[in-house]
Amino acid sequence: MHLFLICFLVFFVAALVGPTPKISMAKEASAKNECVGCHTNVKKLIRLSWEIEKIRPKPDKSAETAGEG
Amino acid sequence: MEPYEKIYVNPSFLKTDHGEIACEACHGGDPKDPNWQTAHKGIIRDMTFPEADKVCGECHKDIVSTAKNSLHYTLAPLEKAIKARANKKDKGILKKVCQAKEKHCNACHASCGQCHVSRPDYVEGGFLAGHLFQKKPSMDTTCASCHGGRVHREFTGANDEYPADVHYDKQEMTCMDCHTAKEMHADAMDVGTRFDLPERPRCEKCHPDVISEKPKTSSHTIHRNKVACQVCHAVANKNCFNCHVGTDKKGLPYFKSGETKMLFKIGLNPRKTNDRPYHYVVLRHPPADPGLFDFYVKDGLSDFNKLPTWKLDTPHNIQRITPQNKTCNSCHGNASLFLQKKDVTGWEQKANAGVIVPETKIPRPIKDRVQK
Repeated sequence: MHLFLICFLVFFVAALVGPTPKISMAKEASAKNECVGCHTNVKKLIRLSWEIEKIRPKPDKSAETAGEG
Repeated sequence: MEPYEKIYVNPSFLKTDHGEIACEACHGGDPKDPNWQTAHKGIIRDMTFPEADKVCGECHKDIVSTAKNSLHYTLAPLEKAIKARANKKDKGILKKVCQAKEKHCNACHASCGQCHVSRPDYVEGGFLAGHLFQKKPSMDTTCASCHGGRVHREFTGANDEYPADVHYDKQEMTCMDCHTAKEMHADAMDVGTRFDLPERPRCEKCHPDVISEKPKTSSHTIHRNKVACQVCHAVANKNCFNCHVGTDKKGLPYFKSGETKMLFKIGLNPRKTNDRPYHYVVLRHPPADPGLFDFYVKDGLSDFNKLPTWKLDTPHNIQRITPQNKTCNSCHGNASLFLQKKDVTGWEQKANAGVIVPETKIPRPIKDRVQK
């Protein structure tokens, strides 16, 4: 019985003070998230863009295109 | 735009409502993977196209329910125009026309994301403002990305010898002052052309006097419902000719278009409606050509003459005083303003029979009329 009450209280308190799903996602995003870490860092993005260019060159545009589009 | 600028996320974005959503919830990928190559596996750059409902629709259901059928999203009227001209008797030919249309014409479209978050795919994307959502997109970066060749140039006065639109020049208005969100997000699946959209801009919304019982200007009383506003108040628009598309040896799509001409031509209203009852409208020649898809299939547009190649236009260079409205006879009796048989090439005569102004319908000079 005591064990049940303790468990109930623990869950009840956790539900009250715990983060909402939206906030938890935000925290997840701004905390240790590789996407955020890279995409908000200009230096990293510049270095990565050099790497990307080596692996995936910019798609060509046809030289036969002529006139205004 | 530098490649890194296109994908740089402004940290302030993370404090916005949209920024609170986990990256992978919209874009996929693995946010825990430190290797960028494997982390990006399965990434979707613009998840708002072709299915707007999936992401935006979760919160913006009302807007998305119509926006997914909007002009920008579907290009529905363009599809109708091509189908009207296509060879419908031969299903094999029609299929090839549809494939060519898909490859070349459908590259132009805009999704929720391509207006409110990044530049359109047509100009190879890139965030507008570090992933911050723009409720009202910028005219110069968003609209001009696709409409920069003709409309934006007309509006801002970038065409030599032709003034900027008075709404831009004097009132500093932008595209969105007339083209509201209601219009941008309106369902366009049932409209024949973009001019039939009930939510389109209307001059009388800001200029109610013009259609009132007793307009302040007598010319508005005389011409009301007879000529479109632009006939008196617009200047020359850009006309294009002879577009052909194909695929080069590398497999890349290309187009070849002919010369462009700045012209001002008044024609007969090809399709009168209650909303557009005018006898005369301004016309424009789009790059329509019966050989457009010849690279893929011959005789693909065998019903080419079903639609005129001089089509209704609303030039975006409105002026109070124009060369044709300076005096009555600047227009009356001035045949050069009107699209005549001699202005239309031989093979286009049939398609444009309904818009060419016969001599008898060119307004006579006012003096002549008074004398008679």
